[in-house]
Amino acid sequence: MSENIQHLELAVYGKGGIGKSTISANLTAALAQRGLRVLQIGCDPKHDSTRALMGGERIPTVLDVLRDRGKENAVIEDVLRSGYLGCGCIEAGGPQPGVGCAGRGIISAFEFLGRYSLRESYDRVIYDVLGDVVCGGFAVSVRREYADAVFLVTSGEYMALYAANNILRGIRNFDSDRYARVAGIIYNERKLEDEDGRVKRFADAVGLPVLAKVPKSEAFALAEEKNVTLMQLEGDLPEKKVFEYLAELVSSPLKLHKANPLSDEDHERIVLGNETSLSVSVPAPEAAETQDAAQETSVSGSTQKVTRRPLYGCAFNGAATTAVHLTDAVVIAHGPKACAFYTWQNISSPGRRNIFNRGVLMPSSISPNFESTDISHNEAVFGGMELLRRSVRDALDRKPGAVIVISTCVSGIIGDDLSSIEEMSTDEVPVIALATDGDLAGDYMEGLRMAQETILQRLVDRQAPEVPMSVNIIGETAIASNADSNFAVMERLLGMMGIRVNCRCFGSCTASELRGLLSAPVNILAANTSDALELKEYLEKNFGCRFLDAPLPIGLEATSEWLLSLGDIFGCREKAREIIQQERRMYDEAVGRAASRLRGKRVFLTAINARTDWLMDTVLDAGMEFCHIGVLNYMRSPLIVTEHPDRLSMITEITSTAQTEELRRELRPDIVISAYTVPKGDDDVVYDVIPMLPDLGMLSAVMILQRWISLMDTNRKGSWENDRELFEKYYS
Amino acid sequence: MTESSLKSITPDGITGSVFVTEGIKNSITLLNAPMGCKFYHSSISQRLMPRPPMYLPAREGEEPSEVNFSNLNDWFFRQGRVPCTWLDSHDYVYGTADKVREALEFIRRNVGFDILCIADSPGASLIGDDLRELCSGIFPDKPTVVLETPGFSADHWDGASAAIEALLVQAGDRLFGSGSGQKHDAPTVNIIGMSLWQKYSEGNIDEIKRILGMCGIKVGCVLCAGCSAEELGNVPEADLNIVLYPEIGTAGALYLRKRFGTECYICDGPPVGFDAVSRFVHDVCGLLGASHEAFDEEMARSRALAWYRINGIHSATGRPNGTLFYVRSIPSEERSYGRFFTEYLGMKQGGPDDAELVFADANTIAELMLSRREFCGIETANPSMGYVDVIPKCTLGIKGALFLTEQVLNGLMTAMV
Repeated sequence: MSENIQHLELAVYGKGGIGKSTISANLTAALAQRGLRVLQIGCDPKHDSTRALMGGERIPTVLDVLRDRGKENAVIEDVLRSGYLGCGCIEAGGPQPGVGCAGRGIISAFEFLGRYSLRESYDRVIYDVLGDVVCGGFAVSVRREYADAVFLVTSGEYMALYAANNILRGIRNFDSDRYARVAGIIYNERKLEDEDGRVKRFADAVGLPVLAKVPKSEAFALAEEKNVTLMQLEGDLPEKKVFEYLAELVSSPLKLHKANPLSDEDHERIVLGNETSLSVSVPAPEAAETQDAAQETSVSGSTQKVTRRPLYGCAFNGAATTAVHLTDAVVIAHGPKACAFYTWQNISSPGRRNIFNRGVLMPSSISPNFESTDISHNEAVFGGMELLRRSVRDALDRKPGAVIVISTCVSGIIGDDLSSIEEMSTDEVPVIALATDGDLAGDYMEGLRMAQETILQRLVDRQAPEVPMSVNIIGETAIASNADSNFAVMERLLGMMGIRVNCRCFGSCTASELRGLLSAPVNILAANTSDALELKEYLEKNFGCRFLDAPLPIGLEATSEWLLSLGDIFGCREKAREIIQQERRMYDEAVGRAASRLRGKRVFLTAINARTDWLMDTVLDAGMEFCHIGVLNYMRSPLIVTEHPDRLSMITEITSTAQTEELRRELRPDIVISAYTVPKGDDDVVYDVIPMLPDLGMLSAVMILQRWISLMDTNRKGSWENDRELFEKYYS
Repeated sequence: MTESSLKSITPDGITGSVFVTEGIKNSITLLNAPMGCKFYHSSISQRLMPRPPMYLPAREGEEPSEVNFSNLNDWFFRQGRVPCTWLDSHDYVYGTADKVREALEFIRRNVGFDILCIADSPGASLIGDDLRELCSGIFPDKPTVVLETPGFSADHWDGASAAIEALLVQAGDRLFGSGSGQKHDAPTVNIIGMSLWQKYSEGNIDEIKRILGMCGIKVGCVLCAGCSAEELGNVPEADLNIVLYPEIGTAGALYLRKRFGTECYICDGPPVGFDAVSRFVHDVCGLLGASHEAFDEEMARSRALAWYRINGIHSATGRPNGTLFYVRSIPSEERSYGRFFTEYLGMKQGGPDDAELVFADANTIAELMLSRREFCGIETANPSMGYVDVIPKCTLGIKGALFLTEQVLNGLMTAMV
């Protein structure tokens, strides 16, 4: 740094095409002529800020170098060039128009430059920044760690002044009312009618000085032709005086002002002045400041409570978790590896646990048909469509049943056009785009629905021939650890009836099975969950699907009814009766064995408001009794926990688990079973949890009773439970 | 041999960063991210380090409120750690500052912590909000770190490295002021480059401390792997910074050398196996003028024990010599394992499709099991199959060498006597 010169960084802001680069370059040249060491950093993707200083040479941009060499190999010498009188020239660069994220590019370029103590070695750093504060990325140079002072370049054109006002808003968002960083306005004349008046009215209204007026002059065009700045032209041109003055100004301590932007209404009224029918009333700067401070509350929201509904999970994850159950498809996550990783973990977790606990391999969980385009920094800045096309081409080469592409936040924000990828479909393999854009399309459930509906619309053959004696199973929760064993139970019962499963729609099926979905005359819902019911409604409405009234059954009674219903539909009711008798014998034997230990035991049940007769029936069949049946009914919806009217009188609706705990202590049951984990008391009570996804078939509850017997032998409170205090002592 | 049979997707930079900042006791990591980025990190962080939940909206014994959106929107979303700003489409257009400000105010009112980190998700990083200014405005006296660039698809160790460096650079002024400023009686080192995400990190840290302790060397701070803010404050007082995993720790160590002049010892890979552990300890003792006599004695005894066990298998089966192994992990760890298995155990480097012993994360092992069963998968990296480790185990140091030897001998597929 030159002696006795205080380091200063200046941001030159203004509307696109207003002449920022010309003014920045001439200011740099004027400062260099005064003997200052100056660095100019162009922050516009069109990267021509320093061209005149470099004698017409276009220099490599930071982002091009980072893309081509990688951030590990890129060095400052790759991007720093020496221009007129040794001034430093750097261009941040950016993507082609319409692709990628130029704002992110600016952030990355500044991070790269931050690795070097470059700025500090210059007396003045000038940032030439793209027209408006379009996003946070373009505003990086306005952050207080960079720009000490901001210059607004504007003409008297309405939109140029509008942009200048927007820039003030951006600065205000950074600084609130705490800092003064705006040096003033550089007026780049266009020779419009009342131009001086417009600029003056705007300047007065926002409380900023007009520091200089750059006259419209052919000299600028001449300099451009010669690939130099105007300051380098021969002769004592009057235009040079402007930049010499500005150079002198920024060589001394600057008077800085707070940003006081106008509201849109005031801006129009003040700038257009007599051209509107509104009265012209130029408020004093103090008035503008007061007004805009109030407006600021709604812009930056410092006291505003966020009241929107939180999105649980993201649509991308919901869609991906659904799509992978098309087992012969290739599902491509178009995004950074992180997004695919979370989904992979979500899907593979039960698979890993089943290997560990039971030695069972669940192929769809262990190695889902799921890939990621692994969007890197380069694609985030320059756009990721080419990467996506390569991934889709690679997937098509493998001849899958379908290729399903799902977008993440990153690919959504950078504007990759996912729908165009469907044009890559071949006669054999459809390419299906799910533009979830991470959570921009909604939460997990919304992504799940988008995937189901889009895939069904694209694949299902409406002319598929009927396959008699077949059913579809709709809406299984396929990542549950008991999904496959439950399906095996149902497939066995259906097989005994002579009925085959045509398609496990979004449980585990191929694209071709989904195409033939309408071949099955009857559909069976996996469970009456809200998402499954929505899918049922969609299939009924859009494909005319016919559903069995009851979902896949849990427990003795429901399974018996279910088999009889199927028997009615397929004309094999007698066969159903035979199977029920056969299965019932197995049930009776198992319950009888359990009853020898459990008869007379008192059960304290706390269920959620979902049908739980399957458990109540078996408890009563085993000679046990309920001392309490509570239903957690936070939403106070109609009770559906039982279909037996006589049981309703036994049921207590509860809205607080604390209330339940008190009752439990008073009633002293033998067995406590709840829909949530109950803190154990100081007694020899068996505690158990109602499974979220119970086993299907007649023996569902029998297995739970068998567990209670086992727990009765082992479920005494261990003294380990007394050591919580020790944990808090040593691990807090 | 290629890795074509493997496609399991591994964590990237943001996960590496989060588990570094979560590795500081009483720290809080706010993810500026959609909720989809939160659940995994919250859940795993709680598992990786034993500690009470940072925040619970309804503690045991207290009456929970009626379920509604207001009490669910407590930024933690019923998980004990790693709150998030649940970014939605509105935030991507209008910026995330409102949410971050409100979340920080909530944290200020409800949660006690020593260090705060805000980590941008890949999507949030495209917006460019100036969160450092916001953060320092709300917490003017607390050490705070803002991780603005998550590393799009970068390896998790790159994210971990960036987070350590950012912590030292951004929070250093407030952290280092808290140190006692006194030199230690015993030679003191810091360990850099470990992370909660590493398998057996707790046991490995204990073992490294133990073997250095045998030489009279004290470990002042294991950066971002179970350390406290106070220990971080004492980082400048160490005589030497030791980098065990160069991918993760080198940048931080070089920063400390530049700022405080503290010399650093950078391992080519973590000390896995008897020879590497000896070399590591002897080098460090040499630099600090410490004695490794006691260490040598235990090392010799341990090698003797290992010889007996290996010899028992070897004399009956000729193994483990020539056994094909495959390691999938962070590159420096792959090198360290590879040297131990080839140079000490006489095994031979194979690939995922032919190795008899596969040392990897559970996803990799599970995926290989689909194509073949004639191998033994030994978990040496996360994610895990689900085994809950109560006793801290280790793969580094002397005990780590014995543990890995044990794993190899029991993992051999041939019949043993």
